[in-house]
Amino acid sequence: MIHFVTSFVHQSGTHRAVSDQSLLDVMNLGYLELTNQVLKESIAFPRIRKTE
Amino acid sequence: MPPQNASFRTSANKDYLRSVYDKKIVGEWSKALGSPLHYLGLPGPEMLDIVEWQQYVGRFTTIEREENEQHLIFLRANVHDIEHRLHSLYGDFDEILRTGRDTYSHSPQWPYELVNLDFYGGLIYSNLSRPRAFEKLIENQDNFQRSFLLIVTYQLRDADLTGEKTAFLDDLGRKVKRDYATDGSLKDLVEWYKSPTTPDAARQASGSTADSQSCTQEPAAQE
Repeated sequence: MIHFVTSFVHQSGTHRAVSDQSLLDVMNLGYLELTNQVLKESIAFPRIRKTE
Repeated sequence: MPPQNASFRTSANKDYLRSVYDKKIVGEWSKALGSPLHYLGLPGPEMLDIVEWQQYVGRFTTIEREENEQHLIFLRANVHDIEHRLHSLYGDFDEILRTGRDTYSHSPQWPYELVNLDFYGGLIYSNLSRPRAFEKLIENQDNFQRSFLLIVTYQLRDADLTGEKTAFLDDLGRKVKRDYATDGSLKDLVEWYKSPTTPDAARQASGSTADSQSCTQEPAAQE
């Protein structure tokens, strides 16, 4: 499973994608899941900001 | 693409992501915007995400490919007394985004502040319909100059019949080797995804994490 959360913040005629999830954070979910690890003990919360 | 009769099933990890991980983020996003969020998504007939986040969600637009599941959505919304907030579309997500219309010529109610796309299958198929649908989504949002939160869930190893995902992982592996030479964990992770011994599991129909062994027996979704 790949799961990612990104805010698209509209700024000056464009959208800027903002996410604190790293590539490793995103790709690691599938690995954790298939090795029977519990996600709640293994993943960090990204911070969400309306503006950067 | 996933089979037409494929139906959404949750898992312990998906439950956690929805009820803890995503819920916290959705709550912060609603607070940052200062209003209930106008939702667009693929919630499945049980609408688990909408029910879980209903304190943060205002109006919501659902997309379902199966007509009987669309009926279940109406029933579920009625049970939770949120039917008046429901706008239901029937058809394929990619096609609705591309044409702007569902099977019955109904349109999404742009713009949205929360888009939750929990795909039963992969993200990239040979016709690139899904990336194009994403492009259209961002374009439509941009027309309204509206910020939005995008949550996407999909399966990376979903029936790679034409080798495009393997090619993607090859390219990713080369870049990881180039940019993260001292960090072996990313390289190992990419190799794990590429390995033919890695089961096509972690898909939405795989059941709970404890059932992951049975995932190897799930038929691969066909494009």
